[in-house]
Amino acid sequence: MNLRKTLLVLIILLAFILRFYQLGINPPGLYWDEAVFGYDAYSILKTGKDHHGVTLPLFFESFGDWKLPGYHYLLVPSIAIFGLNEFAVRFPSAFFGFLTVPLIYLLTKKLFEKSNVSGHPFDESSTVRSSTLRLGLEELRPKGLRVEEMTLSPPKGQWSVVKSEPIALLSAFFLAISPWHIQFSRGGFESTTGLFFLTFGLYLFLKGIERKQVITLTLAFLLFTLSMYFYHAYRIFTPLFVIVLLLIHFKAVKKIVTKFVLPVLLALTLALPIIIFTFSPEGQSRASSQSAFSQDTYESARIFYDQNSKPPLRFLSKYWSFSLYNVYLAFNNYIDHFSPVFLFYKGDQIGRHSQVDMGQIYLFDGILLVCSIFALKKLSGKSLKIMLSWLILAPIPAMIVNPTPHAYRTLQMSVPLAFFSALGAYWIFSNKKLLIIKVLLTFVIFYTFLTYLHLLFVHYPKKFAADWQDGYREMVTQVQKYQNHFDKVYITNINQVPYIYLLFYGKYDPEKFINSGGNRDYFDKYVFIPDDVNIYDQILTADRRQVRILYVAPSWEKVDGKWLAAANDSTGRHIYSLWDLNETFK
Amino acid sequence: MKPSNKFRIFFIIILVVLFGFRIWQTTGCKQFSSFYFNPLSIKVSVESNVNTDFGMDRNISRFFHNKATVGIFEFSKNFASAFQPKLLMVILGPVGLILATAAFLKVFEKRRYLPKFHFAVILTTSLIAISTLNSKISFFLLAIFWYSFSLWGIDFFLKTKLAKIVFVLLAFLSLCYFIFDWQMKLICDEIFFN
Repeated sequence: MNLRKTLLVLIILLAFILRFYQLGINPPGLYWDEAVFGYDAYSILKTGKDHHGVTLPLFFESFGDWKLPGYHYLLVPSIAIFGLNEFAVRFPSAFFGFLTVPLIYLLTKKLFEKSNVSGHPFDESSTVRSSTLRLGLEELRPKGLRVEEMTLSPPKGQWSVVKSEPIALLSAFFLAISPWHIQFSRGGFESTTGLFFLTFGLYLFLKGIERKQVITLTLAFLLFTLSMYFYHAYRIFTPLFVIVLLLIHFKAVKKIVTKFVLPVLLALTLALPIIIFTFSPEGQSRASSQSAFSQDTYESARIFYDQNSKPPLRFLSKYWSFSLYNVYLAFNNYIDHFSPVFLFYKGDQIGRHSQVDMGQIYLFDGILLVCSIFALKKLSGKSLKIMLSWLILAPIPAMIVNPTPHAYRTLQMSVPLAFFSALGAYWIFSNKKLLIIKVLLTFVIFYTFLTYLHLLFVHYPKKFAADWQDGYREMVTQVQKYQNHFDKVYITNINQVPYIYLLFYGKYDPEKFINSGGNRDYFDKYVFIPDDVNIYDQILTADRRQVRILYVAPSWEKVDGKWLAAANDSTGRHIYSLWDLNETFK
Repeated sequence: MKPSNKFRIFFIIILVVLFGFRIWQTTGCKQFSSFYFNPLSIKVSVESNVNTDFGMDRNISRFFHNKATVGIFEFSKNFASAFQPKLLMVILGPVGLILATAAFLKVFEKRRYLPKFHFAVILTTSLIAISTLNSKISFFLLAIFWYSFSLWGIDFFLKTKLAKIVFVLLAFLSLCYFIFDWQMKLICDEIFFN
């Protein structure tokens, strides 16, 4: 095995370890979205229906919104193999996150190939692929260099395809260790899978254009469409990105336009359900519940301006426009995603979305990204346009909803950022003069990566257990331990939906749940009550003496009964207490 | 006079008016936001992180959380906050931000010493901003140098007719932006007009 292959294998191995090590226990707990993903997939596996009783749904009802189906169906085989547990729920995300690493390696190499270098004498219309030329070059080929590499001398000043190897390796390395990408690969997040399909689609698109193959282009468009079935952000990002891709390759597309008919028609047909869904009330539920644009906010801002702004300008409030005000908000939201504080220092403020005490990417990435500006000149043409447009378009899905900056809705940024970091790193490390900087940078990268590992495996589970709703596994275990002695179990809704954890950790028979009309308020012997009501008002007087009641109360509640057990999260924080209420009613 | 120079002067006049308008808007600001870097944050961060490592060998914990590395992190965080695109947008408006980006790219061009020097001045100003307690002076220093620096990017809008039209549109959008963003929350903690 040569050095290139060894390095690639090591990078892939690193990506695998970083995504799979302690996957079931870190992040601690299980967020309710993960729990409902898992149980719906389990329900489909057992009954062919989701836990609401809908047969093979195209869109899944979740808590206050509707989820796209891709991740649910990917979970079915995962749960069939690994069982209903945290690892199984996170497996597809970790697996496709891991696969994105070798994929970015292939993509980067593809970006340096001839069809993506503008003004190149051997562009897609050239006859460089002729067998005669290949035969001639084969004889001249130096050891270790492929014929394709030899035919690709780019315009003066640009990096040739030969440089693609180290840059591709560096891209794979930076994505493999990217805190942003690792964070979402280690949770049951649909976006990671969507990103894989998008990246794969782009790779095949470039390959299809180069080879003028209908089958490859069809596959590419199928993958683009598929990405839209995984996460809401791709419903906006993917079509925009594909349009830009077609514009970038306009000349090539024009020449083989007939070969695009089938892929585009097929993609549009397959995307039809999602287009209809997008304009349905269900499809807009998420966007409207978190929309950044509201008439009320606008009106109050306008009135506030009218009463408090600089006096000579107050009359301008008459000319305020709702659309223009929304453009202003969207501008602000968009630009938030390029904030150095978000990228390098604080990250997303939602604990599930970022690593503790650091940004979405490493601080050294800042240096590399600045250095990549020097390298941009060496990478003119389509590759640059593709990656820049990817980076520029990525925050668009997040600019219309709150809060911002939002790392999950902009996970797409992680791939071009890894690519540009690689360009910057290559620019530095290929420079013959910067020896001290190279040594220093290597040390900084190594030290920062070690610190990240420390934060990921030591600090994160301690600091963000609550963000992952840790403690429910313990609660269900305790309930299962005592429930046989009781006729009814009352559980307080601390985090709104404890029923899903009873179903998930209890591996409750979905058939039984659906047929008994179970829902988030009650099923079987379980009753779920809000945390602001008095338990004694909830229990019927007649029940008090006739049925034995187990009450699962929040840790802070003082209950007049017999204390049975505590349910703590992995950090030892007390979440629930179990009480026998019958002692009170005797 | 060359037509491109006429446009250049016209664009500079538009920008001066636009930026002047922004500065005029800040007259109601009673308390400017501070970029001041407080060294105490280093100690707090180190202590907090070492406490999280409870049970771990103190030397290992100190390897990751020490005053040197946390100091660099915290200091550069404050420094970077002076370069937040949103802050620059509040100061410069959309047109100014695009101009500043175009100007920033000129810093990397060979034999372009003046933009390089100008950017070095901005870096120094940002350093001053995070080391002084007077947030008003910090703001005005930053604003003045960013405004002047952004003028290096005018060439970007002089290339084609379409670019010129885009400039005028962006200038109008910037004016709207300044009006909507009259509270300037990123640069002004408290704003009040009689």
